[in-house]
Amino acid sequence: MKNGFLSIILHAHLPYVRHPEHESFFEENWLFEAITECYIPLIGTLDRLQKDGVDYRLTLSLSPPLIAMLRDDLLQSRYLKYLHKLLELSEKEIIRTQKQPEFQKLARLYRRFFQNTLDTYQNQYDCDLLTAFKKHHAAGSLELITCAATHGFLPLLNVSETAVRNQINIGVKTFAANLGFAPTGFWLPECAYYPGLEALLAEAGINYFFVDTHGIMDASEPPRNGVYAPLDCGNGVVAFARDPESSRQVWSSHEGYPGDFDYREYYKDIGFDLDFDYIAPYILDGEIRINTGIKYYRVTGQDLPKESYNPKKAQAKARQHAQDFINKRQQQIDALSANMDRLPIIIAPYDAELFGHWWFEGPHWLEWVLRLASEPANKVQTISCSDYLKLQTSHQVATPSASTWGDQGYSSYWINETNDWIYPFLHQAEAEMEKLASDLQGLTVSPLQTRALNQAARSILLAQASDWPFIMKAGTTIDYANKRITDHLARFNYLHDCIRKNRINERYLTALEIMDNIFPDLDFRDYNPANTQRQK
Amino acid sequence: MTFSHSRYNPEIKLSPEEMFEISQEINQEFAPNFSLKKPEPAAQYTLSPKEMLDISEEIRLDFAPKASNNTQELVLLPVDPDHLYAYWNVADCQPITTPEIDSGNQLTLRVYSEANKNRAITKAKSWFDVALDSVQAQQKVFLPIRADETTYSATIGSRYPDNSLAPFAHSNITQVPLGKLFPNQAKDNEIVFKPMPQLIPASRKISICTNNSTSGQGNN
Repeated sequence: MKNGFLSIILHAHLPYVRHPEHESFFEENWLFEAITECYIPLIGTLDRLQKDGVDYRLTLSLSPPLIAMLRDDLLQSRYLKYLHKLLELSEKEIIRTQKQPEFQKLARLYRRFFQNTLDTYQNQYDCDLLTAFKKHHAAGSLELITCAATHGFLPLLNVSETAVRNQINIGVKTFAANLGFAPTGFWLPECAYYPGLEALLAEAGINYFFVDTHGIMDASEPPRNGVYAPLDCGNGVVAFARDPESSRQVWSSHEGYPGDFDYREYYKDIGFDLDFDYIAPYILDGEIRINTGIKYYRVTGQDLPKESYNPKKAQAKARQHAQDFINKRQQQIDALSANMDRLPIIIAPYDAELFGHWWFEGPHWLEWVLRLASEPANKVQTISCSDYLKLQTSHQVATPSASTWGDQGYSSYWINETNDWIYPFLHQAEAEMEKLASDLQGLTVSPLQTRALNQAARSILLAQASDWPFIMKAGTTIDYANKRITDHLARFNYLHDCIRKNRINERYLTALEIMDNIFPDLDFRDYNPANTQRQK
Repeated sequence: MTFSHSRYNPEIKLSPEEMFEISQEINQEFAPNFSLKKPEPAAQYTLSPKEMLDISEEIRLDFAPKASNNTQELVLLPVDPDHLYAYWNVADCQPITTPEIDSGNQLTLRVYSEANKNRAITKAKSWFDVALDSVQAQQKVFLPIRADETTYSATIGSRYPDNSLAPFAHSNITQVPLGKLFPNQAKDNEIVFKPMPQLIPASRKISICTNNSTSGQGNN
């Protein structure tokens, strides 16, 4: 008899980075690293669980930009090149470390890892990882949900309801076109919610979404069951809240698992450590040192000389941490179920890219969490939110509070002195797009004009991604974020000008269509606020 | 007339695992394929990477976003329970209601608490002023009249000595969150992951419960 539920949600998102105008482009590595270290290891976990007949439920949110990139021919072919280069480097490493047996053992491990990755990617799934996720969804173990079209930060786009509506609807349509069914759940980018958003989610056919803890704790009515039961926002759309305890165990620097001294050290990479001439063919333009993904050390401890990584020890620790995680959930559920009028549900959402990229052993930990939870002796049952909603049909009605899962709990990370300049431009472009769509209502639009109008809408969506203001604040690849947002706004301005003057250069339009080829089914008419008003 | 029996051939023995594998294989191989259609650029244009790059750079140079001077606007955005953000452009604006502007008067952002503003009788002051020094700028605004107030609007204008305002632009209505700020302790506690130039930007959230950052997810 299970006493309560655990719902683990992984949110997988990367900004749309694809540059056919360059022979190769460094930031495309974000996707390649994530495929190698996160998505394929996750698929490996799911495949093993299925093979062993483990009864588990897991939720994966796939953002539309990630969906599009995973299915893109150009990125697929570039990923294969990237992987072959890693294989080549691992071969060289086996030779270089001949006199260092503990490192050579690791070099061999990396070669096997990259070879398995290639085999899974190319042979097993024909370079289309969505088929892997679809397979596990069809088997009933994996709930797939989605996110806003380009991960737009919705509270700061809400100057225009049409902008928010299009972010949601285009996200849902992109998911449905690629996965073959409509999602019932929605990951709000950055868990950023504001009261009223539930109406637009309902319009898009969404049943549930997630907020951070304080989104529920500061709701319009005190939540009777804290964050361990969802709230009905008043229109049938349900909000689940992140559990602080299970979150802390994974994220916290003091208590979090990923900082364990036995785990692989992310920041010691041969791209930075080895002789320049040797590593030059594998770093950026042969000049700038970057992470290669080959790392030989464990975390070891602060201010201590780094010791070599021991994969067996690290995997044993991951299993131990999984047991600890399950034990703590069980204790939590035991304590909660005594005082609740229903079985508690613990919501544990994480960025998918944590597992494998930052926390190399993360997929192994996840696998053990799911295995342990499935054992009859455990009183915790993993569940998807849609299955929970089938079991539990009535919920307390209240409106969650505006909130995000970002620093300080609100919007300050996405609007501050480092990135505030973007908002007047984003709002202005959105307003001009809506005016354009509105002015053309009832007029005949040629196929060329239609293409230009649709491309203008794509430019706006790409400019709206929350990733750009995030990077500007984080101070990481600021130049790239500035370039991207400037490019997309400039492309919008260009197209707007061409359309208004009815002087569309098809060659230029074609170049933009090739470079920004996301959302093929987009229809600029959805930017006419009058159309959406009529649909309501 | 005889019909073939629709039941399975009893001579073929299949275990549950085998049936599951067959089912999975069929699902994988023959499930409806929802291919991602690409926009269809005109076939006659084959563009080299260099040509695309040139077009991209030309467009960026000629059409990069520029602050426009001809749109009179004032926009409020919600930040957190204690702050909102305002951006405005009132360059070359004439006051909306008052024909004369004394250049000695202070350009002012007047922020109204909507609830108090709409109450017929209220003793509470329903607005506060922020002195501005530019006709086109943006800034974070601290909200001194919190209580349970969450809804605000604003007017930008020229303030006279008697506190009256000659308005240039009115804002949208915005709603800030109701709640409290979570202090950022991340800098004291970060141990494991620190931002690197090539980090995956999605990996970045912060646990607001402790604001401890371990995972590159909020070393903010």
